[in-house]
Amino acid sequence: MTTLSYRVIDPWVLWSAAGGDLEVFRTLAWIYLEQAPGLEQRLGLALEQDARAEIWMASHTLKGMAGMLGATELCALLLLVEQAARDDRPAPPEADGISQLCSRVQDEVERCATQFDGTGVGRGA
Amino acid sequence: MRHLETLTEEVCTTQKAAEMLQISVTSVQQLVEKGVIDAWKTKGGHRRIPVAAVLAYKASQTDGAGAPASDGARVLVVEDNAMQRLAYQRQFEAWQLPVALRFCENGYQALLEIARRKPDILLADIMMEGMDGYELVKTILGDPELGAVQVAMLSALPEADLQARGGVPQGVVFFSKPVNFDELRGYIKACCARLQRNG
Repeated sequence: MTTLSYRVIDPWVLWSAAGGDLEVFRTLAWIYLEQAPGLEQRLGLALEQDARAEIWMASHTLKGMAGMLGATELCALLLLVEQAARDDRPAPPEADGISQLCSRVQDEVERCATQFDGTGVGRGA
Repeated sequence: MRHLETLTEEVCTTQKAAEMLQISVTSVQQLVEKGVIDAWKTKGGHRRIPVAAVLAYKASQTDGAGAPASDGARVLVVEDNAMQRLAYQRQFEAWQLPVALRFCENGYQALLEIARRKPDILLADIMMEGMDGYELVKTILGDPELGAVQVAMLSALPEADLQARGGVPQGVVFFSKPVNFDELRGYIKACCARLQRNG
């Protein structure tokens, strides 16, 4: 699997954060896989309840983690949500797309955690 | 396939050992391979390290006051994001600067750590649960005993948000996230040089 098959993340961004260390790269990916679902759930609940301080914190935190993956689309979406909450405005309609996009990011992180190795071509399935 | 590791009271994973010792996963592996820290492997090939062995190693690396035995600038990183902490850890390791690195996950922990062992350099995230980076930095700047601590704040908060909080305090360096590690390395190097010059 090549880096071209990553649509919503950029493994090279995480690779750079890992200092080119494959073990650290995989550990970073696994930390995301471990923590992101809980954060997404927390954000979802906050959106349902329109708890704006919580929306602000959860979206900011998830955005920070997604940024380390090069997940620019998710980061942009979370930024909209974060800014709305910060400004004490209702969440934008785009917030409905968070769950699906998070799921796509999750899938690609799972793949890159085992297949990306910093050589640019991955190790295949 | 995900390799989620679990923690029991008696043994821990390589990653947990790295967090406890505030070193990289790679460093833990090297210590195990050298026989410095005992470990064993499960049938599935996953390494398990006795917590007692980790604690014994940690004790051997500190002096009576709990400070690192080796010389070097004491760097305290306050960051609630586990991914970011690991990235800092890896980058600092690669830089091979004369520093002793410690982590805290929030402002309260940081204040306790600072009371135990004053850092030379503080890197503080801003948005954290409970006491955030602004409150932490304000507390430090207000304490004459901590006047020599060099402080940097790191955040993805936009300029407008920073201004709403009063901007970056005077004498504090700001790094926007995602962190440019080359810039951060330059800052740390400069801090280390200044400390060496001032003795």
